Amino acid sequence: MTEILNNTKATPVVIKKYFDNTSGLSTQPTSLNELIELLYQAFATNEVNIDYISTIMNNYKPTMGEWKPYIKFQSDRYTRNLVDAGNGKFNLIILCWAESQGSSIHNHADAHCFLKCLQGTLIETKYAWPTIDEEKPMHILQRTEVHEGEVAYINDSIEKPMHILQRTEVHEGEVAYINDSIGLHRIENPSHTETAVTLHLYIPPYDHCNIFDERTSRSNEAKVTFYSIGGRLITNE
Amino acid sequence: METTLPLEDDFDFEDDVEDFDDTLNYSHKNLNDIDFNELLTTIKSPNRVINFELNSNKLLVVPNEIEKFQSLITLELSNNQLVQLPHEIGSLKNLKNLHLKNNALSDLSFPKEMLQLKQLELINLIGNRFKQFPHQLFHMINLKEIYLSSNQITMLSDQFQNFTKVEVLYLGANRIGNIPDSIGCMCSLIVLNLCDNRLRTLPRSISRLTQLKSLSLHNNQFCALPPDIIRLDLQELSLRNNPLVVRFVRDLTYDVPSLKELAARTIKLHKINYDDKSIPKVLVDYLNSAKSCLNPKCKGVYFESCHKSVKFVDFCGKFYLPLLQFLCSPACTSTSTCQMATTHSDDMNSKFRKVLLG
Repeated sequence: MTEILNNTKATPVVIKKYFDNTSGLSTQPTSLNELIELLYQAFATNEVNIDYISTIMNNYKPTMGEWKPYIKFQSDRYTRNLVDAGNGKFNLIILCWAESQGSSIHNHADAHCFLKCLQGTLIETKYAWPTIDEEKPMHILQRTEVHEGEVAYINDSIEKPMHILQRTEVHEGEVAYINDSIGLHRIENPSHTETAVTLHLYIPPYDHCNIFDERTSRSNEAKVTFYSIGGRLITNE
Repeated sequence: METTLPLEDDFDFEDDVEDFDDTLNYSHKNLNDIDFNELLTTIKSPNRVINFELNSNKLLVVPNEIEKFQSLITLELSNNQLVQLPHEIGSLKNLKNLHLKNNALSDLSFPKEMLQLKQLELINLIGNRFKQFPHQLFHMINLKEIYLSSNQITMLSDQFQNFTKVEVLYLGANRIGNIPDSIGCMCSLIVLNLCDNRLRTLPRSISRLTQLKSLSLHNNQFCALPPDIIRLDLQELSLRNNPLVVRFVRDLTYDVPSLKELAARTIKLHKINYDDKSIPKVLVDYLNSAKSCLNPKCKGVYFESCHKSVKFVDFCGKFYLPLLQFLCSPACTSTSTCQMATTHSDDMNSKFRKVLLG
């Protein structure tokens, strides 16, 4: 975002007009193609106007017919279906959640993540990043002798359960937003009788993230993959 | 009444195959039973319809006329208000996929003719009112996908050995307290959904499900899992919202070892040589069946008598899973929770690399 010179409400609007490349763009995309077109224009320079992105994601009214090529449900896990790779600046993805499917707790590799619910209802549970207590004096767990030939083992594991910040429902048409500074989250389709579909926009795209164990706060790196690209299935391995 | 339906004899296959659409879509049309009856009488060549989509209407019954649709492979009746299925359903000899999600079906809704549907491959009964696992399904040996989530099933009878072709079994959101042993016979099972039930444990036979890739156990009462779960080649495992605490540790029964076992343990511990020239072959086989104690500090073995306790096991730096450990004696219980799992083969490591836990 461009710099604001003083705090009055008028000035930011003026500055936006001169430097903001999204000021002339529509804020009401009425079709998938229009949404993608607006995204490309908004990303034409190296600056991103996150408020504009948020506006068009909220205002976009989807018609399910447009999304048909990307709607693919699997019985074993949710699917990620790439719609547009945004010239490397963003990824627009459709996620299909069959009954009771959910994700693990994950971060977003320093990217912005917008999530719009297209069908069904999702539950988003936000978690705080695991912390190490720095304020207490150190506590001795154990003191042992290590003799010739013996082996000792240690690792850095943190073993506290993760702390839930918030748990919200995301209904059809609603948009949720997260980035690493807010925290981590898990997304799940709580329904056993209805499927759910979400539209995700990641800025910039990422292909690795960390997944976290709720009980112990331990994390591991995970590769993030696609089930289909442009409507065509990907054979992974 | 005069009709303009073409007579079967006059039917020219080459001409008509372009016009005839073997899929009828009457979904989301607000059809009630009267509309539906009328509709059925107007359909030309019902015996050539292959897919009949009637989901999301207001149907309370399926009329007897359904038996005219002899070529039917897929019948979509989800999201209606069906309370029962008609006898005529059994006459649909080609029916492979029967979708009945979100209706009002219960334990008395299936006619005995249901047993005639031996060619059925998929049955979706999600969101109905079954209190028991429909026993008619046990006779349908060609089933590949069974969806029974969101019913009121409290127990499962031990008859799953017939389901050798089933690949997907959804039983989430019921009131199931126990999984029977025969689940281990479902050798083709790839996806098993047991979330949102009242399960505390899984039968050991679960280790026989060699094709299993996805196991949903979240929202249950699991305190520990059988160690056999390590042997599965899982890609998806969900365990969230289960107690899974060490506090559970209430050691299970310990049968005092027999004299034979104690002697065998000593032989193995001290690496005393034996062969079938010095002792009877049956004892050689017995000695060879020794299982190693999972306590890494213990070099002991056990035969029939082992001590079960819960221990958290770390798999190749990933998450801690509470497993039931088989140890040679209660003295082998380790008090530390930060301990590497014993004897990992590289094989096992790579199996768990793909597991997404949540």
